Amino acid sequence: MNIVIAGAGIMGKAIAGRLCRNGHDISIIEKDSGELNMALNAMDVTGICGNCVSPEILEDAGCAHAEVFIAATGSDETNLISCVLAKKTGAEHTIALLRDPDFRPGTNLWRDTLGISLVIQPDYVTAEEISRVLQFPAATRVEVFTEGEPELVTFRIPENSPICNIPLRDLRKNIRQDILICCIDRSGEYNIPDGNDIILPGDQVTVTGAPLTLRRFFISAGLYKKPVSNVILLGGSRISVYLQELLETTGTNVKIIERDSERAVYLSERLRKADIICADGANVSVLQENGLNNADAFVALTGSDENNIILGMYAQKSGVKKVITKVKNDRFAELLQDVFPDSSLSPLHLVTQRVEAYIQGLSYASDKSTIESMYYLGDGNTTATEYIAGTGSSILGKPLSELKFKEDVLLASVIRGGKSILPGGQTVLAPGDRAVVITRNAGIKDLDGLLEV
Amino acid sequence: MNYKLIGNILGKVLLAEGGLLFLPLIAALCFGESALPFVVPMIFLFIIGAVLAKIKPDSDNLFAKEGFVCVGLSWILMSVFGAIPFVISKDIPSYLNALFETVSGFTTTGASILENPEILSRGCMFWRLFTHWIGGMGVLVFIAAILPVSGAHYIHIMRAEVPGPTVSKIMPRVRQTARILYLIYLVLTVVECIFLLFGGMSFYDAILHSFATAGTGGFSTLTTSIAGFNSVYIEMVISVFMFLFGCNFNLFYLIIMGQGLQALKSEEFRVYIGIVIGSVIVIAANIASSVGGFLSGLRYSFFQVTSIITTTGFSSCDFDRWPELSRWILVILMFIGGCAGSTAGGLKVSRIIILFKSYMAELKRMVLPSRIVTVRLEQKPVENEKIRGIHVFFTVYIAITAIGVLILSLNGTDMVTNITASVACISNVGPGLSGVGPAFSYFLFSPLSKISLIIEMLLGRLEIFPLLLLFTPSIWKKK
Repeated sequence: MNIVIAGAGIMGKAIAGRLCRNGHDISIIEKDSGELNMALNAMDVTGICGNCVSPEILEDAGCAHAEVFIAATGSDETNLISCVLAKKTGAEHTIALLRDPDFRPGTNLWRDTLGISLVIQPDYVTAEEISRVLQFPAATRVEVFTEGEPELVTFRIPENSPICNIPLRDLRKNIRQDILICCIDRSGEYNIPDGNDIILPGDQVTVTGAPLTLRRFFISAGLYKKPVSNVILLGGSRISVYLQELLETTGTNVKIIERDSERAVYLSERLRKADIICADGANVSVLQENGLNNADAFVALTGSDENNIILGMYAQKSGVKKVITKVKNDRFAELLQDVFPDSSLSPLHLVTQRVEAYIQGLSYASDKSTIESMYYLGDGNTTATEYIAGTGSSILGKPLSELKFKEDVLLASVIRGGKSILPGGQTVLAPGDRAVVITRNAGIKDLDGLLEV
Repeated sequence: MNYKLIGNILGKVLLAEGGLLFLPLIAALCFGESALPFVVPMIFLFIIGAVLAKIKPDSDNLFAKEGFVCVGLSWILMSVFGAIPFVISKDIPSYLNALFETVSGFTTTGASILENPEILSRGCMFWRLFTHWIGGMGVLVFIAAILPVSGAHYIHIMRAEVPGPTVSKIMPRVRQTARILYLIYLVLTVVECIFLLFGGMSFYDAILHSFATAGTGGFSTLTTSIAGFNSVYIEMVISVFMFLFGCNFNLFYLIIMGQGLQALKSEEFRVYIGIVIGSVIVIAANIASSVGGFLSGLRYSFFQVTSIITTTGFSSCDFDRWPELSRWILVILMFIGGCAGSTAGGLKVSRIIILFKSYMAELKRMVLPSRIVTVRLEQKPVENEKIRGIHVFFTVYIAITAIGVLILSLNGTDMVTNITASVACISNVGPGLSGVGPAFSYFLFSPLSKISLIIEMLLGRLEIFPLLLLFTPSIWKKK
């Protein structure tokens, strides 16, 4: 697919790199020639130096033949205008990244008035993810598929866990819950397990299942933790605003520590239920004074990665059970995995994942299946993809035990009529079923791609 | 330095060269000649190439440094192996002479040590002119087009191999770009060959001269070059195609995409065509009296100007006998060369434009020191970095030419010979004036001079830095 990306900042570059690896043809528009050159040296893409709101530049970048235009500059207005212009120039679909929280998330306004196919609010996406993890603190990540069922939960196996050292085929008998282990991450090695594999302490494990079953599984495995009730948010950034608005509905007590007094006033005007503290959170005594020791969770959301990391480490040391740190730059992602086994979140990762899911959905739609959503597991090379079975797929109408699947694929869950079914040998897929597939193979286009040829 | 990856790519280069040797082999077999001269190097290339290509790189990280080293080493290795057929067939018994001829072929120079090329066996002759075609577009670009390579970093290799101050990818991916370039190259070559067949050339001559034109090389099957065919039609066909191969190939792509008008608006193209027309008219007027009228003056000057500015080096008459003005216009054209992104050598028209404009900008700043002057090319501002790079390139180019002249002076040849030989080699033209004029060859130079000219040719084709960096100790250090 021909894709034009405006902006070669951190976001633009990450999206371009990911899509380029998936085999799409990318051209980048960027104002700053130094940034552009850096992008061109690192990826097999073309670039145009110029302003993406100029129709000539859009034309030069090949918008007329582009299937997708992605506006990922640092300015909301630029992103909106360039999307509108790109659409006029001939781009079929447009994606805009927006940051200002006053652009309300979740409306169809952008599609209806400006013709923008998808609006992604990086901060909102991040806040959603954080709020899900806070509701389910045993997990390091929680993803929800389209109809709310099933969930995909990643968590770390503690020492002495009862589910360790048992071959997976026996595990299900022991815990008697309908869950499926999709992926095991053993210090950076990702593996889609079969019945013979065992889980070791320290592994990051991803499981799927219906929400209730998952909770029961966590309880029986001795991992369950109650949803948090006292949260400290460090930094009154846009993510904090969204996060507080999401947490408000669950009755969580939130304290936001913000350094800038003007910003703090704005926050207290906008957010009625949260306690707003105007103080420098980088000061340890401030944190103590505000009850760091009694907090269930500490979320570091300042604009500085360094501050987030250091203060996150401090909170961990002070005994806060759930610490989440936001990092802008994913260069240190691997390092952070070691420092924060619990959770470190990169908006970059979440946004790239959204964009990729949308584009996979566009490019691989056929009568065999369509892609509804997609999530990265860990390093992003392993993905969980939700397909909707079409009528033309050869996977339909036969029991799964009669089909020969490729080696690195796992049919993790089937959703029929909003209910999740754990697929077994006798399961038969029908058109309209949603199938969640875990794979390390980036080349799978549709459900038929799961089978050996 | 990612040695394993470099080894892997070099292996592919050698395999590709081995594969390309099939064509002269077929030619040799068609004419009933011995297959030995080609089979022997092929065996070498396939064995060494396969061993090197087996190396599994730890990572596919490749940066500008590796790109330069890769290109520099590839060209040296290709030439070293490419010279073997001439030696085995005993057509050129001395290895140094064979190497000179091969480097001259790959770098599309066309400077020959053969006084009578007709003595070559048909297979070797085919190889000699085919090297022009391989070298014209570059073998690493060829590999990008046919073999799966990691695209993200291959741009550093393209940048080092493709002539011109910048490489613009016409397609989003290196591979597609390489394919389009080779497709345009191939189609133009075939079209020329068809035109030449209509002019009464034999198929063998037509295809070989198309190779030599396409790579802007300049070897011919005849001692007298194109003059030997004595046909106005053939001269015109070759002139027009030399002119085309001197254009930036991106323009052809624009024309294919139906944006021909935009292609004609290209500033570099306009300056290029302006230089050609201006030189043709001045030379035609200058030589009119000696060749019997302005019209036949136009005939000779059009052929010679296109031949020299594109750094091909065919001749349709002995231009060394022309008046001084015409001769020195040709020498200046040797320096200028064709457009960036073409198969031609020389400094390249776009560099000349930027040099000239930056001089003008400097003059304006001298008048009013606080004035900010932006240098533009194709209406787009040129960054200071790039301007500085071009100034450095120009200076080094002249310095190397001068060193070349110095080494040649040891031969006792006259100054015109030495200067033009050095210029003709670094600009990849081939024939110069006086002792290296179209009627003579490079045979008589001493071995030292030949080695220095070989280096100059490689420096000229690879635009100096890839090769120069190979001899910079710091690049080999592990840091």
